[in-house]
Amino acid sequence: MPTDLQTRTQYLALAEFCQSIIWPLCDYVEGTASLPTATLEKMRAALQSVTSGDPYRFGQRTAAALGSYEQVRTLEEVWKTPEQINSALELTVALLDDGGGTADTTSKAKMLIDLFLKLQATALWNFEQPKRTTPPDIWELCKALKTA
Amino acid sequence: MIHEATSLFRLVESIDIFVAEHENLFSYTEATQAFFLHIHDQAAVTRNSVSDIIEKLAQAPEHAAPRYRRELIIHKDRWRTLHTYIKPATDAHTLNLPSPLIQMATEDLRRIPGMEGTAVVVLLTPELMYYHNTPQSRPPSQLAFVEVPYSQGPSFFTNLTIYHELGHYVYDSLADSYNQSTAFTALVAAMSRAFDDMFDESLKTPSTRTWAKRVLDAWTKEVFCDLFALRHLGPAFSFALIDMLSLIGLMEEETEVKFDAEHPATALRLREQLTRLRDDGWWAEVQDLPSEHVSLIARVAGKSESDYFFEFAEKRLPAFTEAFLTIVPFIHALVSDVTPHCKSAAEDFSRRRLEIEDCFLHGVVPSKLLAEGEASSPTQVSMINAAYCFYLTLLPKLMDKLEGQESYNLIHRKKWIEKLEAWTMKGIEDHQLLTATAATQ
Repeated sequence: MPTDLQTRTQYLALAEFCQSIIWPLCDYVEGTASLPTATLEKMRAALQSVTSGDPYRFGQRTAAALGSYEQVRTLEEVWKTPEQINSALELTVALLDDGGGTADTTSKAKMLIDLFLKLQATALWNFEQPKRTTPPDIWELCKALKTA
Repeated sequence: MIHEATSLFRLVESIDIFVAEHENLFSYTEATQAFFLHIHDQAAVTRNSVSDIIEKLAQAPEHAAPRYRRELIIHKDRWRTLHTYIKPATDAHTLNLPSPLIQMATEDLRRIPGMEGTAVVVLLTPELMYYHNTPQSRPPSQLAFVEVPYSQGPSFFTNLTIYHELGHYVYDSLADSYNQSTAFTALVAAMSRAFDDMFDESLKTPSTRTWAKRVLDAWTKEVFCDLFALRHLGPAFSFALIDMLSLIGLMEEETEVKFDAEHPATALRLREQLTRLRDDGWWAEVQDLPSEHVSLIARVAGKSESDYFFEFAEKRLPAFTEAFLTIVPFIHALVSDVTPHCKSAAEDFSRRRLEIEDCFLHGVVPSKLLAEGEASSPTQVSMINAAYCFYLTLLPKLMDKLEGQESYNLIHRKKWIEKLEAWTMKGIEDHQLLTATAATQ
């Protein structure tokens, strides 16, 4: 597959990942389903891999959301600081700890839905616009090289 | 939103019909038929989903509309992506393909543990390049997708590079495996070690770390794919790669030692191929051929490591190439591990090459070779390599025997290359028939 199409499908995979979170959370908020704990656990693992700095694993396929450069870059574009990524993670953990059923849980779920709607909108936009993905921070890269 | 949903419904319907019409008009490989079945299934799923969305939307509160809209957009984008696969797949009917080569590649893939049910779907791409492809619509996992330039569809020699693309499928499958082999985990450990040795703790931004890892991963995959192809095809793969890279202007002396973010330098790729050819006994068989391809491999592979460079955003990053060199031995080990069946291919070639070349010199398909009252078939790999060696060195000798044919006349030359390719493909097809017949007896 030409690189640009390969890149674009990474954005689509991210948008699908967001949808897999938004949809059951909306159902929960509307009272038509229980708290989607399995989805939240999956999301926690994905966000933790980003906050740990190592979403990309050697020897693993990057088709999963938040594993490829394009997906991580999109996430950084939307949630501009590490604190914002952390707060999404904290919300997820708090929801899992609450277990659902309280007004506070519903409000946390709504906040999480908003965060992922924004991320999804950017992912879909990036899919639409076949522009080159922003390059990495070459300055940070060179500074961290042990042989620099 | 009803209009958007209707447009998508119509698009899916029209693709579904388009595929069905082509199925009625042309003959396709079993793998392509399986892909078309997947398209029909996906079309049915989408039609139901879209109808469902509209039905639910009519009853949902107003604030719920955005998520239904997003669901619809995702369906549209999936089909937008899938749309790019349909025409290349319908174009790849059996008359437009080197079917014996695809069959051979399929059989080779099936020799790898865990890939016994794999089938190869060919897509004819408008790009002048070969690609491995993974459709996002989650097709059956045993289908390996390979894009072949439409202009090269029925030809033979350049299409040998599809083995490189199949290497991507194999590497991804090894990565997906629940039970990764020792050789694969050793490679992954070597990559992690190389990365950790390259950077200190100050490299924190997840995207920057991801990018740096992806570069090492991409280079690793490329060398794996080269060596995977080489193990199955011998030097014919290197020759085909050189021909393909030359055709698209990537065999220039100035760029031989340059790495980019997706590919290692040609010099390193050919160096590792040469190492593999020597270890597998192939190089001794071809090193003395009076061929530009052979001398090119020796010259480019001999470039000094200190000349290699990786440049990104106008900055040279030698640490990347140094780190990658520590990974390369583990790639060789993995390739040997997954292709034990290729070990002795050079022996048959050594024994049969001159006889096969003699067949070509007389315009005979080398399906069976006579020896002391009995006939036996050379291996497919021997036929392919003998054909490529013949193409590189003996084509003028064949043409000189024929009245009115001049080896420097490109029209004449083209004609006899095509004949040679046809004889080779016929030989391979016969071999496949003989093997299949023997298996049923």
